[in-house]
Amino acid sequence: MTTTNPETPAVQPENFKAAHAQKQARALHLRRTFALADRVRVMADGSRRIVRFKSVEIVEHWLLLITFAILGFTGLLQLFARVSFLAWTINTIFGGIDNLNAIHEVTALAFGGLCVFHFVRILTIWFVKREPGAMLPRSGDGSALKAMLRYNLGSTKERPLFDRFTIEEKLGYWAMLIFALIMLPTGIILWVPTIVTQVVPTSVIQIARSIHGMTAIFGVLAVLTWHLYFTVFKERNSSIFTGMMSEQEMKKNHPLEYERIIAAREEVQKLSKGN
Amino acid sequence: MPVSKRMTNNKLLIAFLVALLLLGLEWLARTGGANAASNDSPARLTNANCIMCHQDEQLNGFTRDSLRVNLTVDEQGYNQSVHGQAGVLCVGCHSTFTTYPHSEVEQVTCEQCHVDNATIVVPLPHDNGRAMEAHFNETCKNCHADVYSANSIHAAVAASGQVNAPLCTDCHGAHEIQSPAVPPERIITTCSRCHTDVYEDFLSNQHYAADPLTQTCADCHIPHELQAAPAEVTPTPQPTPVEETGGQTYLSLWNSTCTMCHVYPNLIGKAADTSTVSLTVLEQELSKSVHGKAGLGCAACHPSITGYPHHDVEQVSCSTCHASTDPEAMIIADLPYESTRALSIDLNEACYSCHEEEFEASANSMHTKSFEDGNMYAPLCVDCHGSHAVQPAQGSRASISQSCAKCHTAAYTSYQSSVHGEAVEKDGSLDAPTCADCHGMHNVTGPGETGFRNATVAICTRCHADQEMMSRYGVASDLFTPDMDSFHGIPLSLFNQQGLDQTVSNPVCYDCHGVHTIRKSDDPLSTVYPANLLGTCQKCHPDASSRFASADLGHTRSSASGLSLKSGIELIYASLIFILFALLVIYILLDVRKRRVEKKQLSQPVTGD
Repeated sequence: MTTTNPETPAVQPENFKAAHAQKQARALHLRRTFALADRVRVMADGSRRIVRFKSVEIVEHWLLLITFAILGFTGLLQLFARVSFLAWTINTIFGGIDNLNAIHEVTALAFGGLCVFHFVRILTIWFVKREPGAMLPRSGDGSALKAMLRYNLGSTKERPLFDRFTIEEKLGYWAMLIFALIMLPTGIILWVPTIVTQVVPTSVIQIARSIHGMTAIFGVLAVLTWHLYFTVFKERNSSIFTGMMSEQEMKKNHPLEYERIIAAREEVQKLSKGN
Repeated sequence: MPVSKRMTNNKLLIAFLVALLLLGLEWLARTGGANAASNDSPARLTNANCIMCHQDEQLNGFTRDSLRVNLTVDEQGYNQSVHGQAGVLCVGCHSTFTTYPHSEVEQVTCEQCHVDNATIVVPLPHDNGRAMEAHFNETCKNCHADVYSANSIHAAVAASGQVNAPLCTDCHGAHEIQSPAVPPERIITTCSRCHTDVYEDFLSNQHYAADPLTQTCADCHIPHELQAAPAEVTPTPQPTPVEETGGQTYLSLWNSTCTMCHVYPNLIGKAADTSTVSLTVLEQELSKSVHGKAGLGCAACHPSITGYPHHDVEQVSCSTCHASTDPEAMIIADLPYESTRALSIDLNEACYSCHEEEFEASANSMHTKSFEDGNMYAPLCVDCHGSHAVQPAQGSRASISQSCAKCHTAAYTSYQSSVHGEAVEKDGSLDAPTCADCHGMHNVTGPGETGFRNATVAICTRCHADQEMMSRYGVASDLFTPDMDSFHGIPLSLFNQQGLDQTVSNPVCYDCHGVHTIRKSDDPLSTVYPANLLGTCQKCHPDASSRFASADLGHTRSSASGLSLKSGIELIYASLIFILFALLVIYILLDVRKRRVEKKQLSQPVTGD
């Protein structure tokens, strides 16, 4: 489904600005089309797989997985240090709560670094590559969620169709983003309370401590339920580790994206034949 | 030769006296009955009058201490004695008796004796047998004033209140008085009754070996003049008031034997390193001590001393004491120890024989460790409990800390002005801690040891979480619990639970409240007084601001507004998270349900085929 007709009449020389814009649009369109078409990989057995994640995204996920696991474990241990079994764990395995806290803080630095890296990458996507960003909230998200709920409840037989990310994936990503936005500042307050209280009232420390703890519990539970359910228990989706997804999975979970990829591939094939 | 001439005169005199005595005795035997018949006669009592009753072997008196004293007199022995030979009457010595039965002193009535043939027991107007002996001893002076020397060492010992100090009769006998010089061995055996080991030494002495019959104690130690002293300084200054020594009966004979010498304030022991220690035992102190009240003899704690003077260990020789005639002079005895401290360490072992439990409790204490590390001044039992003045542990509570103060002066001074110290010392509180309540009694833990630091919260909460006790002092008991919810509290509870021997880097109670200087939080000198709080926080948080110091740590009296803001936000946030999570779970459950329905729909056509 091409948005621009390659058979468009030649531009008027006097309307240079419009012509330039048209050229730009054409270039962007071609770049996106080639990129989309490039995501189809033909395996040795002839089957086709779709490239779903770039290696930078795979690395980001790995880093997030590791830092989140460590932060969650070391953080919750500190939060529930009064439970005698956990106290035993802290003392015998970590050699004291000080060590545990040190691990937590170092990992938090890595997590913070990852967040900054991710934020910079998003800015690059927006302003350098000038891609729209599939994760950005759209007007259709609300209706998609509604439609999904209606489908799950059985009030409609039509399963809403998703493009690059399903509504569950999108909710998960934004939950993670908000989680980081809460955890990082509260974590910093708890790390350097003396500096923070030079600016803010001391009640902030206590409140930050409560919020940091409660959000941590929610975050860990959300990952263990929501994320694992939709990516492991419901159907094993290893695309974030391999970067690849089978055509079958693509057709089922990301039909709109799959269509775009196939169309782009056809367009590229047509262009190469034309040459 | 004048000597032989005097000897002859003496012999003549004795012969004359013996003849006179025999005549006198016959006369007495004849007139005795007549005198008894004419009872109203105020004439002096004859010996027959006395013997009439006092020959009865069943005649006993009992002194005020309820001990029995036999009042029988061996008539034959008396007659053979120098007094008997010289015709001295009973009343010559017992001059207070003018009639018989002795009704003028109202102890004896006819009925008392003549009830039946059973043992006759009459009350005596004396505190004890020894006092009675001392009483009659006074009459010796009537005739023998010339030999009676108040300046001898024996008289000085007696003047010091020593009831066992030798009286005339102790050496010379009472009724069977013999000349002490006949035969000469008698002198030695007489002295040896008290000076047992001197006697043993003397038997192996070259003087004795040279001429066993002529050389006696008296040749060196002039009888009656033993260590004569100037008359004006006769009584040795007494550490114990005379009325106090009256209560000496609790002391065993052993103790009396020891204190015979050890009451002297001038008795000094000198160790090899020339350090000295007073060997004086204050009987008053000893009698008020737990050991004194329990009736323990000196030997209970000094088991190595088996004789006196202590020749078995060869520290004391005659000249040790008798070098000077000045009773004020220092008597310095060499001690068989490197130092006086070595003496204390050695004697301290004796405590183990009774106080084994306490010994074992202190085996791992800081004090024992310090001692084992070579600090010979690390406290021994006696350093805290005292030696002769040993007091029970449940004496005065304030005294516990005061005994620690002997070494830990600085800590004690801080403690004294603390809320705990003031409560104990000024108000006599039975709850407020003494040193031992926090540091332990015999198993004293070093404050630098990990175990002590980790146990701090448990130590403080023992009282500060006790609602009943705290209400007595108007101190909140709910502000301070082992698992208090605070930044400082959680790691502490962690260490409390495990009790591991690792250093608690997080603050314990005393890091903020002070160690010995603990004061009320509203005391301007308190480390947690609002004005001082910042400095206290900055010990660990160097960049802390005054605002930081005012933070709610979870066990301060929380202001209502601060609490409601925090708990309000917590409540809202917690419910928000709960709702969110509930929605999340509902969404997943809907998805699970839908997938099951789909599976059924898929499998149905298959099974239908």
